[in-house]
Amino acid sequence: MSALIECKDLTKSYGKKTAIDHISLSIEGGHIIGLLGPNGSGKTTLIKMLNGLLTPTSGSLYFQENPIGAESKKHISYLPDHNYLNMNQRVSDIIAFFKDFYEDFDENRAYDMLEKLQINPRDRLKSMSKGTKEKVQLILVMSRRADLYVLDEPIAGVDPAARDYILDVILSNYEPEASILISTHLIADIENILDEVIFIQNGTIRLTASVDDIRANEGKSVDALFREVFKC
Amino acid sequence: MLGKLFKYEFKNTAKVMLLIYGMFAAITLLGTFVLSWDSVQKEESAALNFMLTALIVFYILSVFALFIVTYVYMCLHFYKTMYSGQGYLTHTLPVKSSTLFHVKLATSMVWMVCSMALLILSIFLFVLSASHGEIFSSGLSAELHQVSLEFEQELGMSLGTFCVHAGFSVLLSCLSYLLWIFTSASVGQLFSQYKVVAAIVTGVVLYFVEQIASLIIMFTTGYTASMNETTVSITGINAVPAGSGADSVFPALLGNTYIWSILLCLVYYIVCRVIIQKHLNLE
Repeated sequence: MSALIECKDLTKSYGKKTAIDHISLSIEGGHIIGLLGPNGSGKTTLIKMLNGLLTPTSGSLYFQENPIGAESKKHISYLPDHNYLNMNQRVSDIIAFFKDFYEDFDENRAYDMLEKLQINPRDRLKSMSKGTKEKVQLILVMSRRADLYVLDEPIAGVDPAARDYILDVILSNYEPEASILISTHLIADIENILDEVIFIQNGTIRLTASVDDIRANEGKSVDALFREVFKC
Repeated sequence: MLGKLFKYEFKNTAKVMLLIYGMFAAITLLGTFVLSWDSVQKEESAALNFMLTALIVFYILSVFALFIVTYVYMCLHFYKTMYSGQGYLTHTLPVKSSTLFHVKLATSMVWMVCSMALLILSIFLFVLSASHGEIFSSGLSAELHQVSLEFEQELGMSLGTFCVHAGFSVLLSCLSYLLWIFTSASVGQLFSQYKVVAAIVTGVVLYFVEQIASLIIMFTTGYTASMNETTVSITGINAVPAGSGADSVFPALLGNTYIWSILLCLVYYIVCRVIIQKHLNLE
């Protein structure tokens, strides 16, 4: 089985600071993978390179054996860690936009989720609360039938009840054959949904393992192992 | 995809642009209405005279506003949708980054051309109103012929040819001004911090480099000397026979200006495209 994501000696530097330091990594498809690390460890940088928003300083990055570009963007559904939509637009306009550009966008699924959350599609984003905007963004991302969902800190900055809801939306809407890459430092909240974890620190990979292996071999939860590995 | 990109690009910019055009059209209509009054044209009272002067000043200001607002809005829209928060959406669309750039550039150019077309229409309406429609009288063609002859003598080309050259020059200028800012913004986003400041500084540096380079070219190609001679010839201080003054220098001047502008556009275009394709830095 070919790798879904493959990095070879991937490096990203900002001036003298190295955010990603010669990472080589291969991720198989069909799993929920946690990209875990403390703040500033390089999680977002790696995710941005995977989505073509940052250019690697050196090394290579492939998605389904293709370099990152227009083709890979057809198959990756990305949720950034901040608002990235035009705040003056109505939700229905944004849904029309996604439907036009992404062949895998399921309009009905988006409207169903909006209805369940009692979000009016005619409302403009600027009139919504921060939490509602985040939910709209998540709905848009999860309404695609993508091969890979890349979610950057989807539960950061929301209350525990909302976290449960977000995780429920993610789990009940992603394609069974698809993969999810979730970046977070709130391990305990997502531990139960993860199949695999990647620990990243100072731009280097500290550990890649399946959650079952961690529990069996280390006799610890992922959260406990994370605290041990990244102890200050 | 290209059609969809254009559709959304125009849709997203149309609201502001149509508002600007609506305001300019209203000012033009007000002006043509006032100019059509006989008493205004004859400047029968001080109040009417003042009103006419105020109208002209207001109109000139609105012309500047039309172009400045169009240009600034296009530049801000480019920065906002390419390198700020919305850039995340733009650059994760399943299209080539070069296509994104081309669509944004082409859309900006279309709005700039629309602004120019609106200005020409506005001036035409003003002239039409001020002349009470007499512009179309039989005397017009004779006058145009006379002006064309004078152009031919002074500048070595007919009025029609001059208008075509003027239009082309304006288009080239619009393109180079847009590319200048797009390039500055693209260079600015390469920086880790203070991206907007870096873009402004880049813009200023590029402007000075461009000015110095054009001065060097003018001096080294003996251009300045030719232009001095032409100025003297045109002002009549030192009458020179046809063929040795402006009529020979002006077409050459135009040609060289075109080459310089096209070269400049090409450099800006390549820099901008390479940065967008290979050095995108949405930190």
